[in-house]
Amino acid sequence: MVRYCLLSVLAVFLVLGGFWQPYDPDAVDILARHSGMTASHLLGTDHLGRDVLSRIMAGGWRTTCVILAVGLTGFVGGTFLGTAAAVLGTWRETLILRCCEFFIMVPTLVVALTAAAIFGLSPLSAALALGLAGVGPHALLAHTLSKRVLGQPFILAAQSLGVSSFGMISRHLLPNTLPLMFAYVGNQAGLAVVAYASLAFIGLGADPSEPDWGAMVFEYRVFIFDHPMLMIWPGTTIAITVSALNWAFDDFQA
Amino acid sequence: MPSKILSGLTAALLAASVFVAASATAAAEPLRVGATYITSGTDPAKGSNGWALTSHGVGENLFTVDKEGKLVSELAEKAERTGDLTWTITLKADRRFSDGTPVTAKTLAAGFDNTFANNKAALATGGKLNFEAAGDLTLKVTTEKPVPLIQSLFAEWPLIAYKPVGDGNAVFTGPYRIAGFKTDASIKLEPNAYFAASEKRSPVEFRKFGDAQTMTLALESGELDLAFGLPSEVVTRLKANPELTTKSFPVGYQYLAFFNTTRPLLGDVKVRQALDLAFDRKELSAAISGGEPATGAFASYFPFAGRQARPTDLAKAAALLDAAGWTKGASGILEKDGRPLRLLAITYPQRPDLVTMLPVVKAELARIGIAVDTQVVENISQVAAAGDFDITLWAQHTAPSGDPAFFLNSMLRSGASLNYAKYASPDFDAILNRFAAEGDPAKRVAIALDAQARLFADAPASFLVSPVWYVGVSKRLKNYEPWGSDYHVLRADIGEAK
Repeated sequence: MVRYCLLSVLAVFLVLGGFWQPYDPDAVDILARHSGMTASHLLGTDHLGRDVLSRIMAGGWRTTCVILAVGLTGFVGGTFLGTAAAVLGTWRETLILRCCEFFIMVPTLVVALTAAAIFGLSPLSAALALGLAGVGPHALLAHTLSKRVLGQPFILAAQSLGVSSFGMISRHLLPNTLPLMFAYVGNQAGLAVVAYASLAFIGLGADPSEPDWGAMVFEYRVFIFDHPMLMIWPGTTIAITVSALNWAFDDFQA
Repeated sequence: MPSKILSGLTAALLAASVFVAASATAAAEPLRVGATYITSGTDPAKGSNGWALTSHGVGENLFTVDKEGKLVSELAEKAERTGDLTWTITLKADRRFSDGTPVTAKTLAAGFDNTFANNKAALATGGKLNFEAAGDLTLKVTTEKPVPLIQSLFAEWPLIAYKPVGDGNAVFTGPYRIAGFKTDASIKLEPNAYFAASEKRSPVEFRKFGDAQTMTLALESGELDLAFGLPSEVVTRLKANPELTTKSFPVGYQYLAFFNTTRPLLGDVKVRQALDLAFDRKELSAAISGGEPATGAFASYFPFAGRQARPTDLAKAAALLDAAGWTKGASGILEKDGRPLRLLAITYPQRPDLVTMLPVVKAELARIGIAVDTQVVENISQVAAAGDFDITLWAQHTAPSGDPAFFLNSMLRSGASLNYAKYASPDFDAILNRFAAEGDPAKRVAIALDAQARLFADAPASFLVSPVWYVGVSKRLKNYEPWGSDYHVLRADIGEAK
């Protein structure tokens, strides 16, 4: 229960950042720079007087978009390919699986970096790159789960009764594989957060003024000795988000 | 007893060996210098290598600008005008290239011919120059356009003096010679044995850092003796370090914003004028913790600099945008025919101050309803030349030869090779043409002021900050005095404490 509460609080915080922040996250106020934690700036201000909490909230929404898009891309693509391979069988199964294994061979970050260099880094481009790179593992898992279900007696019974392929997949196969697939997507969400933060930290093709958490860690590294909280806040936010996602979905899986 | 003597002798011999080896090591210990830039190659005719090689202490010019900003002779003794387009330059005797061969008019002419054939930036002031050696130390120069002060032209950065030796290689005359070069990483320098007092100079290992913060950490950890171009944010911290000395100095550089006049949104002069009025230069100066609001194209200590800080007037900027047909949309961003006023502003990491200024520029333009996307690119020259930007934040020494004409001719004249704003104004060009016929310094100041007034009106660029730069030095280089911006980082008088 505590885990779900934590996840709910996190979700509210992340989504809220898309619609409201205490201050404009890009607004500069040189006179208020490095204010430290005050009542008006709960997490202080940075070297340009921008409100750190507002920037973290805005970055949270961008991260949320990445989590959702990565999950959706991997989930939809992987489930479709993995299930299709298991159901189709023969050489088509082999072809699909070899293609998925090829996806796994190429490191995710390399794919994402290449995409960022070509298309620029935005939540959408990063999510598509990370999501497509995640299709392979999702598909292999979906295939394994589907094969296991397809070997069950009730599937053989359905086939004997002449149930169509579509009906078998929608009524018997997917209901048995999707819960585990969903848990897997949740587990991967934490990795997506870290991957997006890494891409933003590297900054290839990114808009450096956008308040991504990884970009903030990079931008504020200059102040690691003089104003360490500037780095600690976005770093801590990444850590809490990843931990909460992993914790919650581990529980779900269990 | 004999064994004791033998042991004693052995110990003495070992101690002497260690002492000699240590002395030799200390003598050969290179000075470790860091910066966020390095020459892109050793071909002096390519790109801005001429500037970088002079900055690295490898090359020299015929004339240069000294510590006080005065135009002085370097390899040349004097220059005399012999006609409207002809000059005779007398070289200093007894100067040698780093390979020991004498500096002659013939070898320098070959080098300059190569530069004028391969580097368009060299054409900015006098057009194509022809060279003829009239003796070992006499060089006759014919310019394409009248040049009132040839000394100033030969102090421009593309006109580094060298002896070409084929395949883009060259031999130079500066206090150091290149002993090794790794592209985009480091350059090893040795004292040029044919330059005065070479025995007093240590070799130098010059490293490029992709990031000024990394360079700062290298300085703090004792890996550098000189870090050139420290980020202003770290200066307070470094000043508390007893092992280091931090020095600041005003530079001839200007931080400016070029507006790409060929882009649809910035083709309208009213929009460009509005951008110029929206910039709060005091805020920009404060953001980089060093420098003054720019008064124009030149640092305020030059006689041809503007006298008043450029104005900030958001109401006037808004009125100009309104007159240009831009009205606020539902999102608060200005729109015209349903199209938002969204601009792309770029800069480059080699000048960390510009990266700091980028989000401030974004915030300032947001105040008048202009949305800005920002980008930091490594290869700014290529991107700027390709025109893939609306605004580019740029750092430029605008009077490297102590004269205003070179910058204006090379970066803002119609069709100039470095005219990234693609600014084309016959009126402005006509003002610049007056430089060619005017040798009186006071009148050249007036021409420069006229040119700046035209720039303020047409706004192809916005002059933002006249910066102050910082260097950090170890105890070994505590006597190093920075001057001349980054045109003379390594010099014969580097100030090494022995």
